[in-house]
Amino acid sequence: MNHKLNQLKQDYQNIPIPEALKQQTKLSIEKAKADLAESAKTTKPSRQRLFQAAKSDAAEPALLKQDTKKSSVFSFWIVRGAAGAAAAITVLTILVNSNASIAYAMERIPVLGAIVKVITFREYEHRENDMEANIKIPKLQIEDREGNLLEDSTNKLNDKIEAYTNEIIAAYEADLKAAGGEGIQAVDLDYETVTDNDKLFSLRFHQTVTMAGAVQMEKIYHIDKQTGELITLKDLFQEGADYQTPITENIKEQMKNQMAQDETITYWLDSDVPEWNFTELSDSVNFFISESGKLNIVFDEYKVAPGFMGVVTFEIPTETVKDIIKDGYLL
Amino acid sequence: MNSQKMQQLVEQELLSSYDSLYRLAYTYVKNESDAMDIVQESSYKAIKNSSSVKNAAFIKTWLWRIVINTSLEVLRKNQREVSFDAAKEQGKEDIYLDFDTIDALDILNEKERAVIVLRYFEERKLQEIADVLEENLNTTKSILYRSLGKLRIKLTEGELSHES
Repeated sequence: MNHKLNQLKQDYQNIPIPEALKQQTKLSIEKAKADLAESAKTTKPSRQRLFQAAKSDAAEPALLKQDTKKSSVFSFWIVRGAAGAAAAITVLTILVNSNASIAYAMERIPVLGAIVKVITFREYEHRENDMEANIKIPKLQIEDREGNLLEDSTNKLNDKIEAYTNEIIAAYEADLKAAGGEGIQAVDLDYETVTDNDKLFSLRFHQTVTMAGAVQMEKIYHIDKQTGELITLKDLFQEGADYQTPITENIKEQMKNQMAQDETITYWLDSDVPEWNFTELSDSVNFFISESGKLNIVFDEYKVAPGFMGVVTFEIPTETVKDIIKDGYLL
Repeated sequence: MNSQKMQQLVEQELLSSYDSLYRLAYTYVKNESDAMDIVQESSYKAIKNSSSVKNAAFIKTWLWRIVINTSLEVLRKNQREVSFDAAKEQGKEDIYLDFDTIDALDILNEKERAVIVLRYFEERKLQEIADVLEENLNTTKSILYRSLGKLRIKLTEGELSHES
């Protein structure tokens, strides 16, 4: 009997795990998160469709999308344009701070130094057959503590954001044209304020492109609230300090440790394809400062690891950079 | 713990145990595409409802429970489809793997099956299994003994037929 039970256990452990399972699990997680963010404002997600789509054919992309668009309030400050289901429509919604409930949601939080707020947004929406784009483009305003507009900084920031979103829209439109109505693609861009403290205001963009699988890309913009200026990673450190080496070494160390502890984790560190390997941190790398004041480095999908690892984040111990960091950014 | 944090923990657990969850689902539905749907749907439900988990220690058992319930839903749905649409079903191309011993689990009812899978294959503690089933420990023990008895008959039956 024990022998039989062992045989049974062996057969159980030999049940093959489909290759796509992890990715599909991730997609479901992302879908649930997206629906959570939208819930209460939208109709019930068409989960049925999600799973049917996933089931229909393994080779076919499981497009995570809802089949109807609602003209209801979306999130606090966003009113979605109604999009026709069949016809291709591009909607640009511009919303100013005129409505009471919107004004409330956008209410600024007084802080020391500059005040950064999202004042309006535009939305690029497009639907045609199985092509779909939903791109939110916020417009921000930076003021000094007396409420005077810091025009230069504001323009610089909004130009950056616009250039970034235009690039995404252009890529989508190029794909749309190339596919001639036959394409299957969903592009989604959303943003959130990840940090808003005395020192820093950080806006994080999440981009998801769903084709055969979903690719996630992140972009985070930071405004130094003391100066109202956009900053990158190097601005966190003292002038001329070498921050790349200690951070790079720390990340490599973390990669090694994680891979040693869990064989399902893979980073391109010492891979068969040398040009994929992570060798040095670039200055344009995405980062954010966590609530607990720790520097986190964010890599897009495929940047330093195979796609199944998704977007990966490394928390850098402040100890690593304590001699070169400027005061007040990290704890 | 805030709900954001709990959602992260649920996500981590899903990503580290999706294969176990898949195997558990597989013992119920016995085919790849349904088992995969169940894991996807369970993941969706889990993230959606992660705020209802009060204690991170229960995430695991809670996920097992979601998977079992979802599997049963799928089984019930499939049964209905079969009776309505028996003719069509014959042409279905789901891949059914041929595991005789796994089929032996069919002798067990849904609770018995969960107990055997979790106790012997996933090596969970009896208390955890009791939590999954929402039964007390003693009831869980007696389900375990009962299922072992049933399995013994089933598995030795196979042995005899092989020998004869």
